[in-house]
Amino acid sequence: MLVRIKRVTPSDEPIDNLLPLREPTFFILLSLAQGDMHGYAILKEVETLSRGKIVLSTSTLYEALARLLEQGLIAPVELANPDGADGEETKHPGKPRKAYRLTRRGRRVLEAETARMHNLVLAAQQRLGLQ
Amino acid sequence: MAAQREHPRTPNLARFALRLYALLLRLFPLSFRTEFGAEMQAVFAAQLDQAARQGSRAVAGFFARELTQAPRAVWGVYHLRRYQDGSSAGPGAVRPRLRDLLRAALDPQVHLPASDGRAAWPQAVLEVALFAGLGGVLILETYLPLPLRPAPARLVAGWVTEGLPFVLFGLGLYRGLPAWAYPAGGALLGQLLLSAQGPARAVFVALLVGLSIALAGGLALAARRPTLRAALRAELPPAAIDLGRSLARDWRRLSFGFYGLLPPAIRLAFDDGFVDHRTPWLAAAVLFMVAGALAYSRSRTSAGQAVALLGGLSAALSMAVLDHAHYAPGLAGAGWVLRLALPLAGIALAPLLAAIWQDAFRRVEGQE
Repeated sequence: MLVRIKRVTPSDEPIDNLLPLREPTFFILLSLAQGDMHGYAILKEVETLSRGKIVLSTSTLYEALARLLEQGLIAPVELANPDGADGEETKHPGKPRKAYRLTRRGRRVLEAETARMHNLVLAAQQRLGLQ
Repeated sequence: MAAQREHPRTPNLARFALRLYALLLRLFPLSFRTEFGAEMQAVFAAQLDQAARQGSRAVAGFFARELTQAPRAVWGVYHLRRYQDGSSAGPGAVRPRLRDLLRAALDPQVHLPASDGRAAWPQAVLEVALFAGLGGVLILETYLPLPLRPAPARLVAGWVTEGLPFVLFGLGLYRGLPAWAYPAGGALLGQLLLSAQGPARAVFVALLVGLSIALAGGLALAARRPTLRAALRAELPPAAIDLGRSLARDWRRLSFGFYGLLPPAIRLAFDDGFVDHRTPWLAAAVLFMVAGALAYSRSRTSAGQAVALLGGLSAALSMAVLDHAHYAPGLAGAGWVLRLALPLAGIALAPLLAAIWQDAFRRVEGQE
């Protein structure tokens, strides 16, 4: 009897295989949990959420976004009005028209990682008597 | 590009930085650049603008971050594409695979320039002339008994050794640097390296490496910018233009040029022991050197050329190990010869391997 082995693509990979997330990846997903964002906004949000501890370069951000797209954790969306509500040109030339959205799978991964870290913290607090 | 639109607050330095960043982006695969390139340039411009508002320290920190994190990001992106299904790799998995590299190495080069040893035997003989000439002098100096070597003959031998590469290279420059002139350049380089001692040698090598990188970068830039090419053609002397054309025709010839370092390397490896030399190993080394050069001249595939150069070089220098073992039993001499042979092989093969990679890259891009 022949057994067909289905090749697992990155977007089919079980969620547990994706954990633990690297810190920058975690913060990128966390920033998208608030809503759709374009690349520059993600950069700023990651810096804010990490209290300045994580400052990503453009290359690192887009390498991470490419990987998250491949894993199906985020999806690209077209911005409805890239030039602002009143159509005036923004301060930054070439403001991107593409933003990113956290997918359902991405939200599940984020929740799983949060739960994993929460369990770690609980175990440490119990052991160290910090509760 | 949208990121490079005129912005009233973008000074010249910022525009220069944006251009440099566009060059940096070329490290990434084509498919990645197609998908994210414009966005990345826009984000880079926005971040640069914000850093500029915060001061020069912020700008320096920004540039440092971009430069230091870029290599890891490039590696990460190339790593990503590896997991894509090869049959549906998408609009540009342009990293050549092993089968692309093998195909590029084994495909015969059918469009041969007219003045090339691969196309005509007389040309091949001309390409091997330097190795035969210098090798012949080495053999005469080594095996001819001293009484049969009068002072004038030794003087002439010295002139041939020093002068033949110089003459051939000069003639080659005049003729637009055909394939037979490249080894002469390599032999000249070898003589210069051997005659420089200690710190002078290190400075010479550093200068050479720096000039080579600058030349390669300039050629690459000119290849991509037709206006720059036209401007250079108008300004540069004809000899420089001929050099560029010669390299553009087939820069595998650089490998053959570096093979020209072998005659001085053989002289060095055999310790200049020419007095009443009795072992046949130097003669064998010269034979292997000439055979390697001839095999290279006639080979039509990149793989054949690489095998010819590597075979000739390693066989020739292996004879030096045997010669050392004859005078001092054991493999004490082997380590020293290996330290000479390995860098030489690396330098000689580098242009060939880069040319194979480039051919494979073009094949993959052509298939997209």
